[in-house]
Amino acid sequence: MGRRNLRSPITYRAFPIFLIIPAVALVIFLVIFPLIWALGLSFYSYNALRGDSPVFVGLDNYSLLLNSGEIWRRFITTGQFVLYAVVLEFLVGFALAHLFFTKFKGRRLAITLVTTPLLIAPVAVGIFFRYIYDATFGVFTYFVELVTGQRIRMLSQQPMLAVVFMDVWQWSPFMMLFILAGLEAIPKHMLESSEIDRLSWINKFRYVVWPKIKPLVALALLFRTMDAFRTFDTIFTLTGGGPGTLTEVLSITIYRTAFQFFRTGEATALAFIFLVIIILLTNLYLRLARRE
Amino acid sequence: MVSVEARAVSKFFKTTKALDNVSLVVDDGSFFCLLGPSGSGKTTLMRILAGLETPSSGRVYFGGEDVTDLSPSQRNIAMVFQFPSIYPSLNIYENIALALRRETSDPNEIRERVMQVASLLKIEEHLNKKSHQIDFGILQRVSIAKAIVRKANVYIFDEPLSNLDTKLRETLRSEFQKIHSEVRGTFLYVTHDQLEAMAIADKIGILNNGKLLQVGSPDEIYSQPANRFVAYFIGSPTINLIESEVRLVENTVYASVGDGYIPLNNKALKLFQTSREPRKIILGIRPHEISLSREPLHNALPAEVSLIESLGTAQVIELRNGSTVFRCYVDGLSDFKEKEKVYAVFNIEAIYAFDPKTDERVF
Ligand SMILES: Nc1ncnc2c1ncn2[C@@H]1O[C@H](COP(=O)(O)OP(=O)(O)O)[C@@H](O)[C@H]1O
Ligand SMILES: [Mg+2]
Repeated sequence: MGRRNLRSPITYRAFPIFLIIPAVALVIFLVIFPLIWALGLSFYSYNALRGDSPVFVGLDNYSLLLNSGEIWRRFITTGQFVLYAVVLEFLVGFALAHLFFTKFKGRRLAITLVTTPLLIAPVAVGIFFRYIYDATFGVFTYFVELVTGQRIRMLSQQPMLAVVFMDVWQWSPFMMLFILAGLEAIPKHMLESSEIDRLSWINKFRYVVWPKIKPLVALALLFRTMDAFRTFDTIFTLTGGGPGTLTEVLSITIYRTAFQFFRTGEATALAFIFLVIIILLTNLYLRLARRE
Repeated sequence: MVSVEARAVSKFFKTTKALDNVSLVVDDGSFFCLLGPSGSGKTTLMRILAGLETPSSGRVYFGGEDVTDLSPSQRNIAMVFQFPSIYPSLNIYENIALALRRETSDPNEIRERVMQVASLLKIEEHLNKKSHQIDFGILQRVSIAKAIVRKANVYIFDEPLSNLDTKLRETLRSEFQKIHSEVRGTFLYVTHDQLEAMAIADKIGILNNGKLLQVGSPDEIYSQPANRFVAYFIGSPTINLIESEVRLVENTVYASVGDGYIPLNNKALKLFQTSREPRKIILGIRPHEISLSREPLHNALPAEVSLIESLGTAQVIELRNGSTVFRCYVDGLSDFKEKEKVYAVFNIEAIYAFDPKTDERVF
């Protein structure tokens, strides 16, 4: 019965559509619709707390934001954070990947342990690091004092480094997994043949290793850049953007504008600028990746 | 170039015994071919000689010097693998030149040597291409070029032709001797193809189940096989191995073939004249050494033609006597028919006997 119905042309075509309707509906109501609504809102002056009716102000929100030195400083803070974090994560991930590429006893267990930070909820990570950096009993503080002899108060003296290290701690394993996958994909005979050909290690890397890991590195960098760019919860729980605004990245600015100052229209405009930047970044990377 | 020696080399992979007490000496500048069926341990032996694998026991010597603990690059080995190993981001010229980096930095010398091997292997027209632009056969030539452009102590080729189609394989096979005489190095060449080995090697080593069964010139291997496996593995069509019983009758040794008997030569007489009892052996005779006739010649064995396989300019004729089946090779095209009764004449000087228990050759 059912089978016959399925074969009739109309049902046959309608059935897949029928199947994806719930998913599409969910996306439309939870993503697309709020997005369009927010886009509309970004042209209005509106305060969600006061609940006055929105006043249409055209591009005023955008020009206000783009002309404010404050916002540009937030951009620079965000850029610094992303740059430091992603570069460090790449280096640490790269080193870890090479470490785990050599087969040793307990390798699997070690990989599992190293990748656990990926599984920890960001808020928990933020709270952990508050303790780790604690000026009196923090582990980090303790070890730094052991090495340099100085008691450092990370969160007030080096807040940017503090948030960067936290991100590096959590996300280097992600880089590592990608690079390790690339290393594993190198045919064994190519590695052996580079040894036979007596290539220097730098040439071995250039001609054998790099061509294989390049696409994966590009992909990992793309993911990490986009993700670091929109980091919110870890930084918010660790420093709340402070001290002052030293670690206030854009996502925190958006949050504050929207939910502390309740300048809703302005916040949505900023969020849209943010979105455009992420889309541009994505395209840039994809183009780079595709050129290979 | 140096001589290469393996002394009592064994290799275990977990519980698999890949090599079993292999000892081997390859002379300086010679062309040695390691021949054996797949899985016999050829690659493992070569990888141990190259330094890519460490032996479970035994040592490796180059020119009398113990190199067991040295890496492949310290041993200065050039090697061609079963699959081409070309660096994809470099073009062919650069690939070959890269192998020379450690030897010279003089651009003129590099250029000259690359062009020399390129012409030897006929790949000049591909020098500016990248690996994805040329086909597999050419790539394998490039791998060979990359190896022989160097001045290595030893050149190892691990079934370099086995992934090529027959025609290409034959062309390259015939070029290998020329390559060897130009490069003047110690060549270790692995193959599972006996024709390839017979065609190009100075010396052949036969490996089976991790054991080195025999080392000798192609002639020796063919005409004096050390045991049943070597006899069986070398020669085409395959040697006839016939279960037989020998007995002494009036000062002549006879061997049974099916229901009939053939006489054996004096070598057999010396060996068996003391024993009165019949003795079981495996009789070996190559199909080329049996001729057929319609006349009942003296000492000929009656047989029935059971199958005729044509090779174009020759025939392989399968014969039967009782329950024993053997094959003979006839040049040209004969007019024998299936089911026909014929007489087979065995060249008694070309008969081998193997011990059925140890498989060793008795004569
Ligand atoms: N890396 C390895 N791990 C486990 N077993 C291996 C390995 N390399 C080879 N062997 C085993 O050793 C034997 C010989 O293999 P190999 O030297 O590759 O033979 P061949 O080259 O003559 O075909 C085979 O039984 C193979 O399964
Ligand atoms: Mg092999």
